[in-house]
Parts: sequence; C-alpha cells; structure tokens
Amino acid sequence: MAADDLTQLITANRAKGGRHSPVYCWMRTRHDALAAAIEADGASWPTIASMLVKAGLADGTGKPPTPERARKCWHQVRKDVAAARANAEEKRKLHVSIPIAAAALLPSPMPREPWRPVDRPPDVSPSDQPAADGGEDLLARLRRKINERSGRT
Amino acid sequence: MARVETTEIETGGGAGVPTKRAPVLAVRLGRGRTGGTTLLDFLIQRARNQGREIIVADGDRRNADLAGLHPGAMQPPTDETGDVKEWITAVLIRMAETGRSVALDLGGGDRVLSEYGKDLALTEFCAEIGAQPLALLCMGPDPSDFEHVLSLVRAGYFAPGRSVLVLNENLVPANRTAAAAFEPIVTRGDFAELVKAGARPIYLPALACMDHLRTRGLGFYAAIAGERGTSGEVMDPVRRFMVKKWIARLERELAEVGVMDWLP
Repeated sequence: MAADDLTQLITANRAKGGRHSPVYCWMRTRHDALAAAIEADGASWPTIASMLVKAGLADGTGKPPTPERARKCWHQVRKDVAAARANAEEKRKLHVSIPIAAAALLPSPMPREPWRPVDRPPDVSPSDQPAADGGEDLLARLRRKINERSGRT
Repeated sequence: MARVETTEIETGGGAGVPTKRAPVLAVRLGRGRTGGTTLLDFLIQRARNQGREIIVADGDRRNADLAGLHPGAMQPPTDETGDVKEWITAVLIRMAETGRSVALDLGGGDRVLSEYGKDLALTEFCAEIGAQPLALLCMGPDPSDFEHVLSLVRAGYFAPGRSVLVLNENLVPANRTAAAAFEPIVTRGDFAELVKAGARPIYLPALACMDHLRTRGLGFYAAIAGERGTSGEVMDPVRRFMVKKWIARLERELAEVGVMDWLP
C-alpha cells in the first residue's frame, strides 16, 4: 500500500463515517505541531489554505478550502481537541484501579478479528532464522548474563 | 554532533559511513515503566550517531516520556483511540514518504493496536513498502509484566517475525539480585516457547547515572563526547565512563543475540 493509498484510506474512512472533512482530519492529526507553529509565527490563513489545496485536501463541501474556511475549521479542531483532552482528564480522575488480585482473575482481551498471517513471506536475513537448537543457547546466554550481573559467576 | 565510537563491537556503517538499510518500524510494547522509553531512546540516539535519520513517535500521552526527551516527536492530539489511530496513520505515511525508520512508543498499546489492526495489518503494510517491523517487548521482574507481553503476542495485534524480549535490570528491587528476580520468568515454559519461535531475549542493564543524564538534558553519545547538555553542564569523567560502558554492554547484548541488522 503506497502513501497515496493510505491517504485514500483516511478519506474513505471519513466518507463512511461522514463526520469530518479531510481538512479537519489533517489539522486534528497535526494539532500540536500546527498550534505551536501558529503560536510562534502567527497564522497566515491564505498560506495555510494554499498549502492544504496543494496537499489535495477538501473542506466539508468537497471543495478546496478557502482561507476563511481553513480558519473556521482550525477553530473547530482546537475546540474539539480541548474538549477531548478535558474529557480524558476527567475520565482519568474518575478511574479506579482494579486491585492486582482481581485483575489477575480477568481473562486476557481477545481481538474480535485477529490479524491473519501475511500472504507472502517477508524478506528474511540470516538473523531472521529461528535458532537451530530451539533457542537453548539464547536462553542459556540470558541466564548467564543475569547471573553475572548478580555476582553468581 | 560528530559520530562517537563507543564500543569494540562495530555497529552498522563503519568508518562513519551511514549504512543504507530498509526502514524499521520499531514498536515498543509492554506495560508502562518497564524500560521501553530507555531502549527506544537509546536506539534513536544510536541511529542518529551512526548517521541515520529516524522518526520519533510517542503515542503514550499519559507518560509522554519519549516526547519529553525528543521535543520534535510526533504525538497524537489526545489519547482517545480514534485520534491515536489517525495519528498512527500519519506516522506510517511519513515513514512511507521519507523511507526513514520509526521509533514508536505505544505505551500499553493493546487497545489501540487491536482497533488499528482492523483497518490496516501493520506487518503486511511494512512488507508492502519494504520496511521491517520490529517488536520490542519490555518487562521487569514482575510476573504480570511478562503476562502482559504474552497476552499481546498471543492476541497477534502486532507479531512480526522480529521480536526482542527486553528484561530490564533497572526494575530489580534493591534487596534482590537480578537472577533471583527474573528466575520466575526465564524458567517459564512459555518464555522458552517465545524464544523457540524466534524472539530474542536481551538483558537491559541498569545505568546508575541515568537520572543525572536526564536532569542535565544530555544524550548518551553527547555525554561521552563531552558535549554540554541543556543545563550547560558537561558530564564528569566518572559518569562518562559509566555511560560508555553501559552502551558497550548493551551493544554486546544486541550483537550476541544477532539482532544488529534488525535495528533502526
């Protein structure tokens, strides 16, 4: 999958959900860096809009973003990120840790759709081959190292 | 910063010549505070010291230690799964576009990886763009650290052929030896199974002056090269020697288990 395909993946996912425009997603993904740049140098919305157009990003109507739309979108992103962070902070405060003994009784989480093995073998180098002795040497080496560090040599 | 020779074991591009190699997606997994940040930080500095550029990505917003050490690091805007997923995509786009390796800290990582795996199989994607995925599975002597690693591996969220099991000495309680502390883990049958399946176990030695380095804003290689940290201080010769020996020891660990060409 090439980078272009990945960009399409974002766009396609958004199209499915239909909640946010590509410009919004782009700004939200880069929120911290963009906020720092705007704070340091000020916001030139014509420049930012031109950069977004060059990147092939569209606003909520599917059109190239104007400076004014870019500014409004950024305003919305800042508001949403601030709200999400406040929400996360609130959840953290309310979070009650599960006692270790109780946690040990819980089953490991299982994915609903586990990953499948790759269809084609990956490129391998000699170091990718499993140890011929079933890893006995590696385990013995590890124990030796730990013993050395523990003064057991 | 000039390249710093640190060990008798040469690593990668000798004589200061950066080695051209496939980009590596190095993902740190495991419970928090198990030494993952230290190892990733070392690998980042090591790559840069050898002339290779690397993208630093810290997805652990609750303990953004890696981003604290590398101010230009990519970070998700929040720790909400949706935001982190979008952010991982942005990190992958940058890797694909630049051909640079990535050091990715996902914290506990299981929730995000299980969700992300539904959109894009990371190991397959790496194969597609010619990158090599690497899982760094970090743990201390607490058996639940290993249980967490085991659950991640078994769930298959991110299970590349290249995995390193990292046993962190720094977490050994002061009143115990490393041997006694780690014995319950390294003697387990399922630990041996992981090694038999190809995971490489290494021992991450403790560095006594780590806090000294951090508080003075000094990198490992900058410290031994006698450079000034953000505090303006130069590392004293005793601690400089400690750092040098630590790097050499860690390099030897990595070389002895045969993972030098797996690293970013």
